[in-house]
Parts: sequence; C-alpha cells; structure tokens
Amino acid sequence: MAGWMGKILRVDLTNGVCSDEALDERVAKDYIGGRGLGIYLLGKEGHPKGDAFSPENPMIMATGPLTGTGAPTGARYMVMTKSPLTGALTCSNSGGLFPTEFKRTGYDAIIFTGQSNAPVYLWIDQGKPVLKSADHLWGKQTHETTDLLKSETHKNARVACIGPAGEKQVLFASIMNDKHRAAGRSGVGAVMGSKNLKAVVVRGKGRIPLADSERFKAFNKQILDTFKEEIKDTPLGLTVNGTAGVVMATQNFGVLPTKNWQQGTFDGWEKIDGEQLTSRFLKKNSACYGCPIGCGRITRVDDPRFSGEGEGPEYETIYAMGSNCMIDDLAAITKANYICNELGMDTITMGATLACAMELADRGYLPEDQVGRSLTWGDADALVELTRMTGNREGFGDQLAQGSFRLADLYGHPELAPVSKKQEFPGYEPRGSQAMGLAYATSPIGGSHMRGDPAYFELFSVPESMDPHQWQGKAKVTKAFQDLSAIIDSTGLCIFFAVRNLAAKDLGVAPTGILEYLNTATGANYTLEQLMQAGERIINAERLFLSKAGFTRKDDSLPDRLTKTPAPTGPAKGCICHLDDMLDEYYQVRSWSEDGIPEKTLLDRLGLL
Amino acid sequence: MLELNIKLYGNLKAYAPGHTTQFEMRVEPGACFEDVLKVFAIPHNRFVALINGRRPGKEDTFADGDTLVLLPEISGG
Repeated sequence: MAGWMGKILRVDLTNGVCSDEALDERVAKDYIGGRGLGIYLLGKEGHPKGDAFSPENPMIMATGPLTGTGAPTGARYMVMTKSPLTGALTCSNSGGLFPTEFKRTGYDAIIFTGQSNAPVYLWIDQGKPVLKSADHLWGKQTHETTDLLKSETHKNARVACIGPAGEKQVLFASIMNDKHRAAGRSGVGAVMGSKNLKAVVVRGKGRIPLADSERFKAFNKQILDTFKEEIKDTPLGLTVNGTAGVVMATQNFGVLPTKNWQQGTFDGWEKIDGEQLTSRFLKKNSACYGCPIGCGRITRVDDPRFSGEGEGPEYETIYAMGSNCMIDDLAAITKANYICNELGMDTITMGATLACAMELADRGYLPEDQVGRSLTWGDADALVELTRMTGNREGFGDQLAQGSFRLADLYGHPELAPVSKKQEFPGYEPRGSQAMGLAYATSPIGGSHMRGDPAYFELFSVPESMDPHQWQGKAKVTKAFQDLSAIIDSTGLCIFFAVRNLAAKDLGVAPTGILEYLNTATGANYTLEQLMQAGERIINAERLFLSKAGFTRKDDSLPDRLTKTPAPTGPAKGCICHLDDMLDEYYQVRSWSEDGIPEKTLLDRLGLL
Repeated sequence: MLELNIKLYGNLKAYAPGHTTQFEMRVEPGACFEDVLKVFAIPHNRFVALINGRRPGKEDTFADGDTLVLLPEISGG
C-alpha cells in the first residue's frame, strides 16, 4: 500500500495486549482514513446504545492517507468514539506534529478497547507498541505530562495526553497533543480517562510511501505556487490575525453570539477581535506539519491578574468565553484558554456552559449559594476561576463539568442551553446565518461547524457567496459542504486550506485537488465520482450509527430561541432560523425519510446494507 | 447629497483617507455601490462589502445614513 501504512494497532486495555491487524485495501479506498476509517471501525465494533464510559466503547485514533505526506496542511488525525456529552458518536480532530509522527510509527490507526485497571500510557517506538504504567503521571496537567513523557521516552517523541479534566471525566474533556493542539470536542478526553489511558506517545522514523512521488511532488508544487501567488500582495487573514480575525466578520454580519445566544452583536467586540490579539499578545505564529498558513497563535499575557504563556485563543474560544459571556477582557479569555489547555478541556463548551450559567443566575434560577460567588454578565474573574474549578471538578465546577444542557436541566430550564444533541454551538448565530443552523442540527456530533461549514459561503464568500438570511436552496449546498468535510476529515487535511484551494470554485465544491493528491499518494485510482461517493458513504455510515442509537428528526434540533424568537439586534434583526423548512429540503436532498432515516436504496448504492 | 458612514477594517485601512477606520462620506443621490467603491481604488477584490450588514449588488444605491463596511478577506474559525 502507498499513502496508507497498511496496519492498524489494536490495544486491549483490559488485558494489556497490543496486536497488529492489516488495513483492508477495499476498506481503505471506500472510507479513505481518519474520520471515515473511524466510523467504519466504530460501526463494526461500537455499541450505539451503550454507555460512552463502558469498557465496551472503543476509542479510535486514525490518521489519513495524506497525513504526513507533505501535502499542504496534511497534518491531522481524528479521534472517533461514542460521546459522553451527547450520547451520539463523536469525531474530533487535531493537527500539530503528533499525527505525522504517529503515522510514521507504521500505523494508520489505533483501536483502544476495554479499560485498564490502573493508569497506563501507550508508547510506540518506531513500530514497537508497549503499555507502560502512568501512575506517576495521574493528576498532572498536560504540559507537565508531556515534558515528563518526553524525558522518559525520547526527546523527539510526540505526545497526546489528557489532563485532570479527562481523568475526572469532565464531559467535554479534550485530548491535547503537542501541548497546545486539541481534539477538543464532545468529551473524547473523558472517554480516554474512563479507560485509564493517560497518554499516547509516539516516535516514528518510517517513510510514508507515495504511489507516484514524481506526480505528487509536481502537483504539490503547482498548488503551493498558486497559493503563494494568491498571497503575494495580501497575506491571508488567517496568517495575520489567526481565526480571531473572524470576530470582525461575525459582528458586522450580526451573527456574533452574545449573552448566551440572545443576540448576534456585541458592543465590546473591538476589544476581543483578532487585531487586538495580534497587537497585545501575539509573540509569533505557529503552524502544524506542512502548513503554509500558520494560524496558530503563540501568545503571552503580562497583565498580572491573568498572566501566562501558551497558545490561543482562537475565534471559537473568543466567542464562547467573550461575547457570549459579555466579557470584553481579552487577557482573561486568553488566560482561561491556557487553563483549558493545561487541564484538557474544550473551550467552546466551557465558555458556552458558563454563559448558560450566567443567564440562569441572571433570571434568578441559579442561586448564588450554589455557585459560591456572584455570577453576572461580563465577570472576567468568574470566567478564570470557574474554568479552573470545572477542570478540577471543584465546588460549582462539578456542575459546570456536565455541560450546559445538564446544568440548565438541573435548574429546570433546559431551553436555555445553546445546544444541538446536547453539544454547544460554535460561534455563528443561525438567525443571521441560516445554513449554519441546518449544519448544527444535522451534524452527527451535535453543535459543530467542522462537520460542514456554511460560514464559508454565507459569510466568507468562499467559493461564492449566498445570502445568509435566505433559507431556500441551502439544503443542497450544505450537503455538498458536509460531504466535502467528510472527505477532508478522512484524508488528514485541514479544512482551512482544502476548502479554498483543493475544491472546485463553485458551490458544488467537488474535491478536485484532493482527488489528485489522493491518487498520486495512494495509487487507488479514485474517480471524482467515487471520491464524492466516499464522502456521502461516511456521512451515511455515521447517520446509521445515530439511527441505531435512537436519534431521529426530533434530535436534529435547535433551541426555540433561535427558531421562534426573532433576533433583537443588528443586521439579522427580526430574523428567525427556518430550520424545519430547511430540514424537509435537506432530507429530500439526502434521500432520507421524513424522520431522517437513510432510505434503503441509498444504503444499497453506498454499500452500507 | 447623502451622508454615508464608511468603515474600513484591517488591511483595507490603507485605502481610506488618512488611513482611518471610520469616516463619513457624502455622495450624490443615485450613486451606486460600484461608484462608491471606485473612490477607494482597492487594487484587488479580496474583501467582503456590507451595506447595513447585507451584501450589496454592484448597482445597489444608498439611502441617507447608510453604513458601508469593507472587511478584509477572512476565513476559518
């Protein structure tokens, strides 16, 4: 095999046994890798109705055939498992340097099953896997864990680990790799913690074989030359201000979620925008393996109240902990981001859960004695203190650790949780960005922008613009973007480069550039149709898992405040999100029943029967 | 004459008079979006324009007090 390494590592944590399995060529071509290989394995071995923390819930880490090949942004791996936050499947991915090193150990993927009876970590030294005791690491934060593991394995090893939040099964605990990169969403770190698995440490020197390296290199040069020409006079916004530059856009479109999703504009936005981050805290950019963009922010805060060093924040963190909590103190947001990275927690769900708590308190539903302190909109100190308490499950942090839905439900007002399938939304208000509402509701992992990102065509005009207030016709384009995302997530590429530079420049977003990369890397001779069908297959395999877990149309939902209460401010004032109308159109485009179940003829066509 | 509020953000500030972010501008009634855009002579099209928060067509005209925002090309998040 080329592109793929051809091997999967199975780690039985209950019995402490590691074994190799061959990656089937047909499975590789049909499911690509990464997210696709993840759902293939989860579909085969997972338990849709089971408990996410049960030893029977497998956790899969998978790279893609373009990970580590030198294809621009080919740096990613995917974690796939059943989520404790949502009860649905989750797939959460991350870049950095760990995924490439992982693949160079000789494995495309690792399946973790069972549960160790004591803390362990997996050390793969150039193709030789071994489980080692992690007793001495339990309780430690992610940076210290990473440093200790490098010193006891190899200085060039790369580490993915959980922090105290994962150990204590905070429902939105993340898996941190290379200290600052996160497979952040849906509690993948909590599943890892439930298995008593502290870390995965890899060192690999293996070559990643390419089927036609001459043609691969020639195409790579052409793509990179085109990109360099594009940015010659005007650098990419992502390079200059990171994703934090998006604040300016969402504010001006009126879709910057504010005050726990009550409105889409925030008066203090200029204090938390990317330009502020760049001028006040940015030390230098950081980039994942093979990335020509470098959106990562290495930052330092000197403000004595919130001092620290690390990476971030990115846009989603700024919305969730900033405008959504009415906090305009960028130092506090950055500090809370550092704490999330150290404790191993998702910044989106953390911020959104805190905003929900602030509204519960504001409306008198959450008594101050429960919180142990006052909790009012805009309180930057509360953000930092409660973030720390959540990661350690101390005091009121133990309630926040359950996420916004369970918190709001506990106090009798689940309607105040900004969630779909119990997962908190990223930072785009669906009342002024209709397709984003559809994408949140139909994402297999609950509220997410990474499983198909309509902000590209609704806000960023990539590859073309569509009126964000219009709902008609959005189903077809959202499906196209979701299918494209499934392909990108499976190859090991990053959405930031691939959507703009490796897909057709029309709203059908056919994966033309990805096709050439895949074929030259793997020699699998995909046709464009086969590749697009693989995207659709992955989405439907995920949907089948959800159907078996009991999810139906009722779960493809948004809170009433987005579908029934008109936006009170900004350009989207008076708008609601027309989710029901879009869902009817979407199920038809997908060939799903009115209740959201894939039709048999479709499953047959995709080889999923 | 109509008075417009103009906001140029990010690297687009370079095309504003005095390199300011926000200023007022007077235009003839009937002036369209394309006419106003020509004034700034931006040598590329890598920006997003909004009139009162909505994307304009080239020939859209203005009302007194309208806000025209030009955002640098942004993506990600």
